[in-house]
Amino acid sequence: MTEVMVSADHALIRQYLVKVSAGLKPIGEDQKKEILAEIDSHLRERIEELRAESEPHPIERAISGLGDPAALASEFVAEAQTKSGIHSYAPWTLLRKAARLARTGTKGLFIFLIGLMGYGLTIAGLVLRPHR
Amino acid sequence: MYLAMPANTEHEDRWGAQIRKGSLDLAILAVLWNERLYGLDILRRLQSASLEVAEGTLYPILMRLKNDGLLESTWVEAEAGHPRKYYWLTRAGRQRGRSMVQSWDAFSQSISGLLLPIKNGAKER
Repeated sequence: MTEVMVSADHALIRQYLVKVSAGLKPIGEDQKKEILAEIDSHLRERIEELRAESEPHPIERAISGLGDPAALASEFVAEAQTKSGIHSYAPWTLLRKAARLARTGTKGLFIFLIGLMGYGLTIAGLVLRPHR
Repeated sequence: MYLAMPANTEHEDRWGAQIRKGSLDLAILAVLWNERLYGLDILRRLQSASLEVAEGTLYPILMRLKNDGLLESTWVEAEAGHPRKYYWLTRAGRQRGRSMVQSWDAFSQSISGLLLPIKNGAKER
C-alpha cells in the first residue's frame, strides 16, 4: 500500500487518508499523492473553520463531511476514467498529450520519446517503402 | 452524494440531482472565470449560488478537469500553516467554457419553447 506522504498529524485524519488511499489502487502514484494532499488540506481548512465557529467535534465533523472514504476513493477512480473534453485520438492530440506528460518527469519524457519515435518510424516507413 | 433539494417526489429529486450533476463542470469553469480559487473556496461559491455540491463530489471533478487540461493548479503556502491548492482556467478551459455556454443557451431556448404549455397551464382540465 502507498505510504501516506502528507503531514497528517492527527490520528483520525491519518486513518481517513489511509482508507482513501486503499481505494485509489487503479490511480497512478503521483496522482494519488496529489489527491491525498488535497484531501488533507481540505480537512485542515474545515477543522479550522469549525473551530472558529466553536462547533463541537470539529475533526470528526470535517471528516464526515467528505463521506465514506471508500466511496470518495471510488469517485476519484470513476472520474479518472472519464473524459470531460471531446474524445480525440488524432495523432497531434496524442502527441500534445504526450508532450504534457513529458514535462512531468523522466517517465513521461520516456513515453513522449517512444511516441515520437513511433510516429517517426511510421513516416519513414511510408516514405521509404519499397515500390513494387 | 448530492444533498437533497426541496422536491415532491423521490423521482423529481433524482432528476434534479442529475441536472445539477450535468451542469457542475460548467459551474466550476464559471466560478473560476475571473479568479484563482482553492477547493473549499470553489465549493462555497457554488453553494452560495444554491448549487448544493457534496464536498466529496467536487475534488474528483476538479481532478478530471485538470487531467483534461481545462484547469491548472498550484500549491500555495497559506498563512493558516497548511498549503492550499489553487486552480485556474487554461486557454482550453476558457474555450470549453465558451462553447458550453453556447450549448447551454441553445438547449435552454429550445426547451423553453416546449415548456410554454406547462407554464401557461390554461388547458388544465
